[in-house]
Amino acid sequence: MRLLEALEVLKQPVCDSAPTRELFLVCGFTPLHLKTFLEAHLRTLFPASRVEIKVGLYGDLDGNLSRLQPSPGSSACIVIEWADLDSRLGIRSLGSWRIGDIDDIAESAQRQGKRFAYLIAQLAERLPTYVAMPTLSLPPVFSTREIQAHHKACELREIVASLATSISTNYRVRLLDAQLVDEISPLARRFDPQTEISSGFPYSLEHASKLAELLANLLYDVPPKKGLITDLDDTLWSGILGEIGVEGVAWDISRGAHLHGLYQRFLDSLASSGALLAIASKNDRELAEKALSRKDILLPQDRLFPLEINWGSKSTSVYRILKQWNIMPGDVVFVDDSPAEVAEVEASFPEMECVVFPKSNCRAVWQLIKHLRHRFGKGVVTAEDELRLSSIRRTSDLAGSLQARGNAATNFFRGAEATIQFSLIPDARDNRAFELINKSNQFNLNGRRFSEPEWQNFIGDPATFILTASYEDKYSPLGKIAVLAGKRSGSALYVNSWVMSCRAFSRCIEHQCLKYLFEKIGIDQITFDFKITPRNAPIQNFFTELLGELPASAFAIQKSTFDARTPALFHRVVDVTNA
Amino acid sequence: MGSEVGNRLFRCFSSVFPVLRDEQIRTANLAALLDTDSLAGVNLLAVIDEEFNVDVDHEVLVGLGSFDALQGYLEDRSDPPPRHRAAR
Repeated sequence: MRLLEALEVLKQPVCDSAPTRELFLVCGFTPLHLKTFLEAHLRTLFPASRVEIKVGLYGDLDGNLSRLQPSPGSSACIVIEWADLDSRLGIRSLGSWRIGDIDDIAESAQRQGKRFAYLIAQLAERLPTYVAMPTLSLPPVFSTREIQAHHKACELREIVASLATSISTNYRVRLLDAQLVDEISPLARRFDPQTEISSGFPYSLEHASKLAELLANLLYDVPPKKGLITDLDDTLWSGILGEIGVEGVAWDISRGAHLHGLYQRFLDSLASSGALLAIASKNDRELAEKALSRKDILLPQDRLFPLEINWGSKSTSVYRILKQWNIMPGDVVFVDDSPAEVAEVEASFPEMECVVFPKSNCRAVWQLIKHLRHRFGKGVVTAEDELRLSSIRRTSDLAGSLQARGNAATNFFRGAEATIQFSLIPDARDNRAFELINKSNQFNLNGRRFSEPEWQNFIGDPATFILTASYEDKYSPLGKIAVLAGKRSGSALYVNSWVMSCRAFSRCIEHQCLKYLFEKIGIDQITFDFKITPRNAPIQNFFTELLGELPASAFAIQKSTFDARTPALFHRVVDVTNA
Repeated sequence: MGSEVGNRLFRCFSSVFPVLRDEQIRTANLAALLDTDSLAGVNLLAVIDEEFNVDVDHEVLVGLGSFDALQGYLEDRSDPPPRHRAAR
């Protein structure tokens, strides 16, 4: 984006009723064009919001961090430069660059780095925090030629790396990846000494634009994809299984199939962070299972579920997989080497991202792997991510077993020794609750999503209550699977959000949640901010059963009605609210 | 219709001074305009530099005095619009 374009974006009117998205841009230099670009990029990413960027004082990053008084729902974006670690690492202060002063510069940078780590950790306790480490080159302070690294320059970079490590381990801080900055903004074109001297703004327009775009994207939450469906022949491995047999298909470097090995390794990594993987392949099932069971395969077969290996259409296989996973097409990526198969699936599922596997193009496969990492990337991998595949597999097995025996699911789970663990404490550190609310679609009270600042603001309200439920039975733990959030006002209870993972359906967990609330809080009525959405049929069905009819909008339910219409519940309930 | 440089320059002014009407931009006294808002002055110099690939000094801008004089100055010095400019 050019500055002219950024200014034109900012000229566009914003609706009077648009909510304000407040951001503190915390830096030690004059924010000038960085602020303009950042605001323009944020306006583009959040067209329904009014973006308001506040800044601090020039030359005082430490003070700006210390003084920051966030209002509810705001965020902080901190941009650090070398001069913030020691002003002699900038060119405006005209501090000494004598050889004898270099040690002192490094020592003071070390102290300041530790101080920033402390201040940023403090700030992150109060509001979502985004950080960019220095992106400029070190000035020519050192005695060596430009081509030779000076040990004090290395030490300064180590100080910055150590600061980056320290703050990135805090899950409430999102650190801009310096590697990506390096990829898109050439180092030699980042610094503008003229504007640094005349205005205290150190960046070239080009660098300011790119850095602002990256920061805006760092602030912008994109829900990660949940599942990947892959083809086998010439995708997961090289070769056509039906033609060259189980031992003929390859994924090793000696047979020119290394790219497929890399793809397998990558998928294994995705699975380990909670992504669902399935196969959709036109193949002989028995042969394919043998190939997937080969000892040298890099993606173990137990990472894959379900295996749709048949001679039917790909879109039919994809449909069955989505049904097993119980997730929406928009949450899934489909990968196949055949452009025709990709087009066929794309036509059936326009919301699904469908990608041709570029089987003979190393660079394109590399780009695909990087792209997939981006699409599936998540800030935190939770315990529930690790449980997801096994619980879906287990639920599917159980459903199959129940169908075969003609039993009702609820009856089956009565004998499952189920335990539900409830907690009624708003916990700002509970990333899983935030994640569940923002990604569940089906058992979802109204489809409402929260941005991170909105969630922190909501949790910070003393009237807020958050009920979380974790489930386990003799078959498998499901982890934290339900969140119910709202406000208390005297004896009234308002539920603003209620979501439950689709893995937890048919276990009467939803009944137990309400029972717990009625009894724990001691109220006679709960009001739900219910809204029918195109995707929340399961919660619509639940309310219909409970009330005898589907409510059209927000409604209240009495304890007596609930008690009369709730089946006998069979779970062991553990309350960890006061634990 | 003005000249191509004139139109591009007008776009620069209207992006930095969105409240000014067309006629006010065409007849503006640059010194007075930049005096009222120093941040806008910095922005105007930056967008002109970016748009015309020239390095215009604040004093030069003030010395030129008017939109038309600045347009003439740029017509003498500037590169083609960015989309036509060869990679440097």
